[in-house]
Amino acid sequence: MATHLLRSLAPPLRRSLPFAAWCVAAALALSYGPAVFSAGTHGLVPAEHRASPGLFVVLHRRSAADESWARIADTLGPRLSGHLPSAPPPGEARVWLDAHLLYWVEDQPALARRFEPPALRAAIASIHARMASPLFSVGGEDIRRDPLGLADLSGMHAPPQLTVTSSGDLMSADGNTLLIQLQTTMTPETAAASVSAQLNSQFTSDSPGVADIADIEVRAFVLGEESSHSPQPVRWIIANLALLAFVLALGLRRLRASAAVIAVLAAGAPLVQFIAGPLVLALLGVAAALGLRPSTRTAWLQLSVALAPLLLLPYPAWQREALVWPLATLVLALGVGVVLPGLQRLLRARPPEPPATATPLPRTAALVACTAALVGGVWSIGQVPTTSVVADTPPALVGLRDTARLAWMYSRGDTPPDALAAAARDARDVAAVLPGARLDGPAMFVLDDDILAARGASLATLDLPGRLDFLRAALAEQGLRPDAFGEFFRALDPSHQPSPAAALASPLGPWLQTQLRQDDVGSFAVTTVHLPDTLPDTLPAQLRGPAVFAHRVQRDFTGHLVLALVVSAWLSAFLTWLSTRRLAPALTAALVGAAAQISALAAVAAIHGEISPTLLPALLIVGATTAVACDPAHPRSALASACLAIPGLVLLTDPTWQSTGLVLALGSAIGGLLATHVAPTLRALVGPEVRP
Amino acid sequence: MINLSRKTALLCLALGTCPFDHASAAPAAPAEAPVVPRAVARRLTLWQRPAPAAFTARYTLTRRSSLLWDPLVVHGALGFTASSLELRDDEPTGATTRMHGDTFEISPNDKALPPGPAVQVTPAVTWLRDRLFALLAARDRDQLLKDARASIPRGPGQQLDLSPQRSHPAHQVIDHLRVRLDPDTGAVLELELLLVDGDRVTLTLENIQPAPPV
Repeated sequence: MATHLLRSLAPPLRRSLPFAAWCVAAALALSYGPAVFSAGTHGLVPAEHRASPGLFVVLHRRSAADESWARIADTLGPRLSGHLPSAPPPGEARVWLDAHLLYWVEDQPALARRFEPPALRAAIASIHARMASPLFSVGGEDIRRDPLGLADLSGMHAPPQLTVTSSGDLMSADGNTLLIQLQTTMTPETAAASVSAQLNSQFTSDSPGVADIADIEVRAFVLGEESSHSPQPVRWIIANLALLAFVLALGLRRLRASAAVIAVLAAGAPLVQFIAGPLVLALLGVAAALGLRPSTRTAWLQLSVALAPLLLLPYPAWQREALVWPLATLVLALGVGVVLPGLQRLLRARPPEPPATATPLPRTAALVACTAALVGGVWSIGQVPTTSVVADTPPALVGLRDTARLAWMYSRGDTPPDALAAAARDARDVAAVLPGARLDGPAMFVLDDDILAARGASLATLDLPGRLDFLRAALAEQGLRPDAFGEFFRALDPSHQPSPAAALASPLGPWLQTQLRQDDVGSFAVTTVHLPDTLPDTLPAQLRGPAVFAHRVQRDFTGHLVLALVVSAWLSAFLTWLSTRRLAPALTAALVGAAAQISALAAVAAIHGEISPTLLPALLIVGATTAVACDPAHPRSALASACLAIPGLVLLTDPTWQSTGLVLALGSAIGGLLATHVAPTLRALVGPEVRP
Repeated sequence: MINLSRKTALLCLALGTCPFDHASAAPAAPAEAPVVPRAVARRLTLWQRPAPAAFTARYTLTRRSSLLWDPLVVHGALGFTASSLELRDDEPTGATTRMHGDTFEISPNDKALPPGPAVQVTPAVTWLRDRLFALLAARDRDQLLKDARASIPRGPGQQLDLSPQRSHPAHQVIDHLRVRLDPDTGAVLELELLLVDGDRVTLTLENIQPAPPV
């Protein structure tokens, strides 16, 4: 019935049916979901290393009055939904730390030496001498609470680099920038708008005279990650199609044939919007190159498995792309294989002229070219570092939170005190392995039972009551009032231990509760770790975060790269062998594909100065397209190489994807040259030509 | 070689570039000069003068503190240049204070005594350093008033109070720095630093002499 109906239609109408169906599918795809092509590098970080949902809100004072700014700093945070104090209120924290001075000291023998009578007398004489300086007690030294400088013996309790406001938020050293952390899934734009609205409603209504809220700049940043989506890829695709149209029209000198290809690709782009933006571009370039002349099914099959090696690597986004890429390839193969011929017939497009026959290089030259590409490429790749998969710290956060170096520890326990004790243990372990790391969180305010017992036993050996009497006398000798040091004397009672249970019951408790989370397994405490500049090869297993994964990638990326290239070469060889059943074409395809990949990579390393996991898919696509181009029955034309290179040129405009663009552009050009000039010679070298 | 006509070249450029963003440079916010009350401006005019770039002076420092039974009084010699300030107490029981850039040091004159903890470069320390250098150089009024509130205290004499801005972290440590000026020459005669913890440090300068050329 359907066949009869189709036959009854006029031939032009019949020929236009596939294209009409193609367009309808594209329209449905567009209406089903807006064409927002995912982009960005955030997906390269595995789930276990992703930052928990959260935002940093940065308020920068431009010319707001001092009074209103101070009030905002102290009161705005708690009024915001999802507010997470970065630090405890400074007063409570100070009292708690000072009340347990003896227990924070790791070096107990050094502590004992400080309490020797001559050392006590000299320390007090030194205080008296230094009191004659105008800087005395301005520079962070609180002589009332710690006249013996015991805090210096505790390496883990370094002075904070930022000022903490009353509400637990952070203020920059110049007092002009306020950092508030929010635990929320809001987008940065929504959060910034919400904070601005809160500022306006609260402070303007409280004080009608405060008219300078508008002078405060509000910005929000996702915790440790970049924005997940970007509208840029839609523009990339428009640019890509425009350039393809121009190059095809110029190269084919067949306007209708070019228009047909572009029309099919333009309608096909929304149908493959489920893959990442840069890959959509690359696929359109591949489809344009294969659409110039009828292609074999093996070529499409080889392209559809091009990204399969990514399944072996630990990058979630690339694993996902490897799974959906074959589907996207199939869709465009349908477009190019079924829809395009019909449309070309409908438009009465003349077929393009066959490509000019290329002259293969002599044997020696071909061998030298291939060897130089492989050896030079491998050598130059080893000379460059790997780009971090973590975005650099946004300029607005520099000096406040170095998001590119943030890591977290999640310490678990059955109960909140257990979780706090585990956090204290983890913090001690990490501080021992990572000297220079700065730790923030509840772990810095408690000690676990083992350490409490050990330090308690050590303190019991000191004759503290006798030493305190001596200290009182030494103070009086120097004209100092012992009573003024009452807090210090009270802190020297070793029976007051900074145990997790005591901390939860103290004024610090409400803040500690905000740092504890609950899940099905139990409680866990979060400790923030600011990684130092120099890191050991292996980081402690407790650390989580994009920066930790980035460090691992920088160590292991060369191995990942080698694995991907080897598997890619094997796939090219195997699929070529399947179609030809001969070893020579299979080995040639693998060798030439690898040479194109490595020389493109070397060019990127030389131009860009670094390589990164973001360019892995492009590299694999270059390998697959070069292997396909080695088919002597379907030699690649210069125009096809240009079509493959255009997506790379478009991606060069985006800093995130520049290296990917370079790989696509240079790899396509190099691959085209190698496939046309070197591959025939290599094939003849490896095995004799069998004529059908 | 492909020969492109002018129209084709323009079309190529348009097609290739139109979909991209062109970053627009945000105009820089205009710098605003601090507005000071007229009385403060008059006091600043008296203070601002061509003072010697380097000088020496004798000083008396008095610290009143709840830590002490009696006020601590020391005498010493002050040396000031555009980049450094040194206060050296005469007595061996005193100390020497040095400020040079971001380096701060308080060392007891008696070398047998422990040096004490290093002075941390906190916002309060840098705020005080900036005020001291600006005051003694007596030239740059903007530098003096940066991050500070200026007011005229009640009472006789040519005095000026400088306090950290409320939102500045130094405000948690320093209440104010009071300056007494010579009514005739505008020279700084006395500095009084009041800390939030109640300590009051008075530095009286005498016999100010230009430093001999090195």
